Amino acid sequence: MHSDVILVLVIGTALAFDFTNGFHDTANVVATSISTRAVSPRIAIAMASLLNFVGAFVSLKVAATVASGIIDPKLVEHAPAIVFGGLIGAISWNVITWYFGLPSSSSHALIGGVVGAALAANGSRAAMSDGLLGKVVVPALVAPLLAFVVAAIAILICYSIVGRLRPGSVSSGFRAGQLVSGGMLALAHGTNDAQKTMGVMVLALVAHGDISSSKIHVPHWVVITAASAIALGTYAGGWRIIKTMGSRIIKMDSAQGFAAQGSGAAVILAASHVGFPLSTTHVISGGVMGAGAAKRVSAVRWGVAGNIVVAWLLTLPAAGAIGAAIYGVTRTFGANSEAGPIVVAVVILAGIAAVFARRVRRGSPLTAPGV
Amino acid sequence: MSEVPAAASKIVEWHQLLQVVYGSLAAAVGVMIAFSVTVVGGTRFAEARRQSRSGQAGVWAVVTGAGLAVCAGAIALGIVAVTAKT
Repeated sequence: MHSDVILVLVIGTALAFDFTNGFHDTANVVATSISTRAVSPRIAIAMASLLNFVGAFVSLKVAATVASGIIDPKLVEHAPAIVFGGLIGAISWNVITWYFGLPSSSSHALIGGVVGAALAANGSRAAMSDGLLGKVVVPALVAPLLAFVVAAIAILICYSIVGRLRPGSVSSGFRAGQLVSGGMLALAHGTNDAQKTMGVMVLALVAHGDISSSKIHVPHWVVITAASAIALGTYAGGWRIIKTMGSRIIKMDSAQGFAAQGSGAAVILAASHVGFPLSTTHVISGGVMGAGAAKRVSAVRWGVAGNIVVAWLLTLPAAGAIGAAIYGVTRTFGANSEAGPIVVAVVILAGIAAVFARRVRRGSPLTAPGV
Repeated sequence: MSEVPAAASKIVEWHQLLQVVYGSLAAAVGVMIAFSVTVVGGTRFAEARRQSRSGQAGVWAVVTGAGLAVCAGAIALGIVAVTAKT
């Protein structure tokens, strides 16, 4: 039996990460529906929050991939500091990228952090490189491009079908359709993102000895708490979006919004079906850019696409390095000592508060990275 | 086959990746076509009704209904496929 204090700390940190994931991603999920005036901000946010919650119950394959396909769960047994280090690595990288306005992926940060801490603890045998490459790195590269291409094809076909109609009737028709496409996107977002936290919580339970590494499963309470955390995060995050989103959205018509949301939802749901943990932020951005570029290439903010590529390249190694460093620090207090994680948690909380205060002084503290 | 492509084909789960590519392309483009047809059908139905052309209005009503049914069916099929335990 291992420290309950560390388990509570790790689960609490995982749920906090899940909450911030929802908070951070609300903009991506609801922006298209609100910008085309398909729904009011209040309804879009409430719907996204509810469907994020429902989406978390749709599938558990991504959770299984995170819990058993990226690092060897046997090596995590009796070592909760690995999971803790990984989570702190992810949160720290998220705060750093938020401070500098880089559109990083919380999902890549989470996976990078956990892999980094596991590598620090057990060397190269800890990482399941096949799983990491085949289920994370390659899909992470393919998915945004796929969403871009699918959205571009979809909008071009749409324009060829509805081309001769009056713009007004096309707009009102696709605005109604966006109620469904926006809902599907929120559902897909909840499905893929909440499951990543579930996977990490399962790893924490393996480390604590509650779940056998040879018989990985996701307990119901893990599903319910992860679903609730991301849904609450989405709801809380929405209210700042109402204030800030006006200048941040690519101008698009409702048919483009429908294509962007539909392609994003289709890619995320298809990937969830086979257990690929994607960056939903990058997929949604790919869909928006594809729908925009197909109509007018100059409509897309290509600088944002460049920032996404930079963030994509940096996130896995950077979060991994921080996760490894945090694991190393906690180990200096002793193998299963509670003191290490507690001290690190206090220091990190103080650091986040300091960064937040500094950002508040500089202005726009709650502005999302530009995706 | 040389060793590198063999290793790559083992690491990259091509079958699953292609499933994602085909699945998302078919679903998104299919729903887009069906919904575009629904919008065209709905607009033409309204015009035909305004001009009291009941025959044409009936045809467009069927087109609109069929488009909506395909959209609803595709979404339901997608959710069932994602929730199914394979």
